[in-house]
Amino acid sequence: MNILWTTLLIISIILLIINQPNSVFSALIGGGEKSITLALKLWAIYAVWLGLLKLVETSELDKKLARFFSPLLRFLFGDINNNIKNQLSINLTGNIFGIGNASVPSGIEAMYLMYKEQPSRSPTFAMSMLILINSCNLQIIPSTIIGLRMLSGSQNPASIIFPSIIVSIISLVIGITLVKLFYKRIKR
Amino acid sequence: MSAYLLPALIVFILLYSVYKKTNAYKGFTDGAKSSFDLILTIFPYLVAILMLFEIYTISNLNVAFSSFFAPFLGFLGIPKELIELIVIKNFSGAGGLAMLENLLVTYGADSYIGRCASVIAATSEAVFFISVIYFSKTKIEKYGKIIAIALFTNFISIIITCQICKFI
Repeated sequence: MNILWTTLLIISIILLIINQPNSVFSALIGGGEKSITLALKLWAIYAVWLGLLKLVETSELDKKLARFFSPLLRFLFGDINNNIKNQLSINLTGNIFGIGNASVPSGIEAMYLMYKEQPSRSPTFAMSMLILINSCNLQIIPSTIIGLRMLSGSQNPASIIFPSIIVSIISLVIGITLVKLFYKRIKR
Repeated sequence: MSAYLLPALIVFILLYSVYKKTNAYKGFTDGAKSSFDLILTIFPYLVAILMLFEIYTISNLNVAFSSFFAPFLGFLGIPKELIELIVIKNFSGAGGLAMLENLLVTYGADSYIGRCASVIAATSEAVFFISVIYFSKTKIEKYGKIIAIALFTNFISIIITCQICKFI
């Protein structure tokens, strides 16, 4: 990430210095401004979801979820402890319902718990799997996209559901296989 | 139907905590409190990635990037109109949605471009954003390998999307 970020940033700045040197600084500040706007929006979303998710925890609904997801979690992540399982099941549920923003807090927490158990500089098999699952955006009903299509005057806004599910499944299969190939699972 | 899914889920969570006789009000406020720490943790990473994205777009590096890769992507069946969406989507989900809206209005939601763009937006997440934010609470730095795998997977799914959308 360090190399990629620094390289892209330097190339962009040099390119901008050549074309319009006055806008370099304002572009950087503009990015900062956008991140504040986004952070405020995310804060509102996370406050509501973390509140609701706390209820999921205190009512032990997360343990029920974890039991339901247990075979799937074992297949994907290998042996993991129960606290991590609970967070991962909330994360998966959020993904499936198409509320990606709601699954971010539980994803971060799951990652942190895995890290605490096994601190290292590079991600383990389970950590990488978590990133992959969340990159594939598995969802039953992509409600935001359908809404956008409706607003743009589509005759059949829901026509994309079927191809989306097929593509999601194919990319999950490819991704999971690659992660399993490239990361050694830790045997205990 | 999808309009009822989310509200139903929220009502269910509330009813279940009543059924389990927990203090829902206290639970909610405790949970909401932790959003403060979470947002402080991810904020530096948000700035880093959005600042890069902003200067990357303004410097026209994205245009150079698109025209450089257009022939190669065209060979794989990916129309050049979609390149910008594909690149932007990896940095920010919100940026990707704005780009999708733009494409839907320009080419029509039911056109080939519109259908491809919708499926692409529905089937992949912002890889850079997700990785940076998810690792933000840890000291893990070397995660290039999983980013490469996630990007490659998304890329394959885009190629498949452009083929499938010819038939629907």
